[in-house]
Amino acid sequence: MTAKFPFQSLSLTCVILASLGLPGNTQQLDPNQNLETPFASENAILDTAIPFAIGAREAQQSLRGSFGWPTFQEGLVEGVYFRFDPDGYARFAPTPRLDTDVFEVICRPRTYSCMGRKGTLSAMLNSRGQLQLKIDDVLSGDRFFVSEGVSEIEVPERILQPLDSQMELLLSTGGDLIVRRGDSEKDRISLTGFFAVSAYLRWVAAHQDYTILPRNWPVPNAKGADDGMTRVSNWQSPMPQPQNFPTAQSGLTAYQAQPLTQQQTMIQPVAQNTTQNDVAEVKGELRILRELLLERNQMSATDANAPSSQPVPAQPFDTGLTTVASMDQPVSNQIAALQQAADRIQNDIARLSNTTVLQDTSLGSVQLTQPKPQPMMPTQTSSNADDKATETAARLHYLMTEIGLDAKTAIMLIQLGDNNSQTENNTSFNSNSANSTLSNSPNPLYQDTVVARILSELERDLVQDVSPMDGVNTRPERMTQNEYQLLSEYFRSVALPAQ
Amino acid sequence: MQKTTSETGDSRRTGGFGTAVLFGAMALLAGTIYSISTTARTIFLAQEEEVIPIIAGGDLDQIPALMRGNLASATTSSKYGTQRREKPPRMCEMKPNYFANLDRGMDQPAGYTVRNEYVRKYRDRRGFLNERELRTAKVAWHYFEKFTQETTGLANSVGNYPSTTLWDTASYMAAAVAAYELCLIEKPDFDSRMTKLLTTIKTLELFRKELPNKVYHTKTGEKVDYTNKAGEIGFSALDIGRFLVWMRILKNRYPHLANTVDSVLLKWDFSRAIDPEGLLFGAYVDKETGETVYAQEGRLGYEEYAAKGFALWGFQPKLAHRAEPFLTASIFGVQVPYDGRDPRIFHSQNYVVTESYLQDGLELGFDLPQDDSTPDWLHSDGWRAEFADRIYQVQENRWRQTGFMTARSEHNVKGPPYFTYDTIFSDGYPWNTVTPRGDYVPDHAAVASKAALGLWALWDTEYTNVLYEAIIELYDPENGMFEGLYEQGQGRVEIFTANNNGIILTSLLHKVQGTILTPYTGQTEVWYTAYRDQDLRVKRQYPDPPQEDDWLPALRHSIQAQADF
Repeated sequence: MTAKFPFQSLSLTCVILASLGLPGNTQQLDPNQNLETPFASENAILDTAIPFAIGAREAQQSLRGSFGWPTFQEGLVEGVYFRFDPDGYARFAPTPRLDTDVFEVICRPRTYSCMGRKGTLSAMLNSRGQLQLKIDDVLSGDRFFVSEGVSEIEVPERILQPLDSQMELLLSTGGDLIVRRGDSEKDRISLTGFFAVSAYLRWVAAHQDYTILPRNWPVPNAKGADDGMTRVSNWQSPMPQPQNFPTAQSGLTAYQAQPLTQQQTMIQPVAQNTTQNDVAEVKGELRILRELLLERNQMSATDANAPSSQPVPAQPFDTGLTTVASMDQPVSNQIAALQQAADRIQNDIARLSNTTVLQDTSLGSVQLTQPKPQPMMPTQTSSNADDKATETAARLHYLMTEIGLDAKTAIMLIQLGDNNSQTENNTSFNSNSANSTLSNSPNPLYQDTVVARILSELERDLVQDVSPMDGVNTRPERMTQNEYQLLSEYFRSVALPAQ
Repeated sequence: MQKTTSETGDSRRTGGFGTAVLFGAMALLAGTIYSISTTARTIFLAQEEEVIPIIAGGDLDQIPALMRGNLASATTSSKYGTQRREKPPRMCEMKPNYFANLDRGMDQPAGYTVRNEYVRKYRDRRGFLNERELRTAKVAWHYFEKFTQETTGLANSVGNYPSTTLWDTASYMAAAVAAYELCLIEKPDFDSRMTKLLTTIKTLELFRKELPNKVYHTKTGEKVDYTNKAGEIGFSALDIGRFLVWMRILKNRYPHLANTVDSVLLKWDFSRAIDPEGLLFGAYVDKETGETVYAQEGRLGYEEYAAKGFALWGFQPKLAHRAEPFLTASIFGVQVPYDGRDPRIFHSQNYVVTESYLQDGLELGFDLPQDDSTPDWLHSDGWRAEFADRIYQVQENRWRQTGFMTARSEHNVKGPPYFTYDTIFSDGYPWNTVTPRGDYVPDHAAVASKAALGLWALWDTEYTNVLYEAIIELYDPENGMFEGLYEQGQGRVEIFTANNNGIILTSLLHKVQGTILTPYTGQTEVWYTAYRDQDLRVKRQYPDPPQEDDWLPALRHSIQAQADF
């Protein structure tokens, strides 16, 4: 074949046009179009007998004509149905007919280079195995948001650069990717199936390697944890599932697999029927929220634990990493990579949460990885009248802007503190501390009223019971009594005169 | 004075008298027996002389298998004494007033007759081709002129892709017959093409020495797989059924090709293609074990059409010809029949498309295989015609109620998925356009050219006039008729296929000549007499000439009296 490359280009163009829903483009047909290319055996890059997901099956195509792929594979993974041909052409959609909200994957003929496409969004792997997104008609200055239906968060423009695992994980959670130009919504792309497609792209690129599979693949020797995997009721749950890092390439799989398996083990016995499944899923959701809340509280405490002499883990992943490192010495390189990833996460979380209590410009110098005593604000060192007036003003400002109290209440609170300087009745403050902290959280994820309500309920639980929940998560154990008292002391420092 | 003997009575008691009486009685008894036996013999002998002698080939003749092939096939004309239909002349040989006195049955009420024949509500179109239609015929034939391989005489299924199936080869035969009858080609060209084709088919390597492989390379005649690489993938009973229809048409219309036609089929082994109950079976190769798997093939529509192809050659596909199991789906007020075998269980889709009904109507006139005498407007396979009316009506109703021109069939498309089942109903959904693997692809819904022109030929209505206008100019003079017109406004389906152009030519031929299948005019056939001195006929399950008991039954199903919404 002399004109091999142009031919492939033409074929790929046809494929792309078809994927765009333009079957009848107005270009003049080349009557001598060579159909050998799409169905040549060399183009069969996948063996449809190798399952991509648990429960997937190979099936015969209902061919009436003289050409076509004789088999395909169909199945259900990550809440989306899929079918793919030996040439890699695949469709992922939330309905069995694969008719709506379709993520389509097409592959360059005779290569393992594939591209997922839905609307104006396309995704492909770069040479380093990272997902690279492309969105048509995007201009510089456009902003991107991920919306899960109720609330939305803005994502940085770097989603158009090769995705790191965090960003990929964020997009894999589903919802919609919104492109805004100014105040107007330019585009909205459903992310349903994004996770399955990214896993599929890597699976194809890895020549159907069994180590590259979507999550929920049966874990060897974990029979008890996988008993419910084949139940459709479990697959079809509209609730978000416990997250896992998608690939082994990211190096996080080994770390994530353990807690995921534990969670599944805890959830499975509960899932005896649909209702129980729902309950379990809600509990799982709440558990995740609780973890996030604890992490944030822990971060706040870490940043503001000046009185504390007890070393507090600087990063939420430290314990896990340490555990992994102690269990498996050869993975130290991966741990180092993890450490860097965790640093980035830590920075992000800190940036989102630091405005809760820290206004001091010295915050920029805070080393998150090595907590050091930080003065609680406002300071308590003034002794003269000017200083006291300044201090009172600062208190008033803080109560109004940071705590969110109205002026009258704030003044009353300060007066109350002045009048009852010897009184230690700050129980009410303690009880409100969590809510106050919560209401001032700048994290847009929790600004939503619904989520905030849930979190406030969780916060109350945490205040009353800081012990680990059912042994599911070990992080609450790090909430020591001292840390809890730190908040009391903090409020006392705000509301009461300096001792 | 002395007393007489009678007075004394002594003479009666003498021994001589007794002996005489005894002999006399014995003689009398013997005489009686003789006379009775003589009379009986006379009677019996007289009856024996009156027995009807068994004549060779007669009803009482227990004819040995060796001689059964000499029997003529029983047809309605031979059994009922009705007049056999005649092959119409070629279009260029028709008198100008040929259609003036054509029996159209216009005064016949629609519905079933007592013999379960059916008169349709609509009539087909008859007449000479006008200029536009003649141009269409020429363009469609040009596809085969361009894409028939010199080396084998096989025509490509799709454009220049050198691959074909028996289904598409039958379309090529249909095109050749139409081209000849419409006077686009002359007998030398026609004979040359058909002889070349048939001799090639005769030499094709069969799938495991049974029946033709599903796909062949048109340049080399090699059996190939779906990627056109050398290999074998099985055989299709539906493809073979359609091929048998056109082999019968070829043989009946052109007796000079009969021996060639018979010799092709006499190389095939039908023992696995049809079971004793009359179900049709296809074959495929198990991917894991490499063994041949025989699986029932065909769903409502295609299955009956293919069954009649087998029955035209003496097979008895009685179960395949029956509509059951079938269900109906109410679509736009029409109870559309579809196959009741659940695709989730049988893993075979139950597509409802126009094509199989069109082919039955155009080629076989919705008649039973044994029917060689009913007029075109009377359909002896009544329920097939009645079901076809529903298939037409639901498409017209969709056009009237939604505005979408609708003529749905399976068709190729340019680019992936390359082939779609553009169905009226399948998998529980009306107007379901799906790929061979089941993806729903509504963007590929189209007015199929072959379906549109087929409907136009068989239903002379206002709606089919619209369809005609939509597709009659849908051609590329260099390549043939386009596959169709996209329903959603994306333009033409820019691909050219043998099946599309073949059915278009068949539709045009039907306008001129009516039902394509003509009666067999000979007596015995080589197909039935060959190998009578061997066991090949038994091994390959070659049938005997069908007699009245072997006929497919004429059945009816409940008709829809009023619209069902």
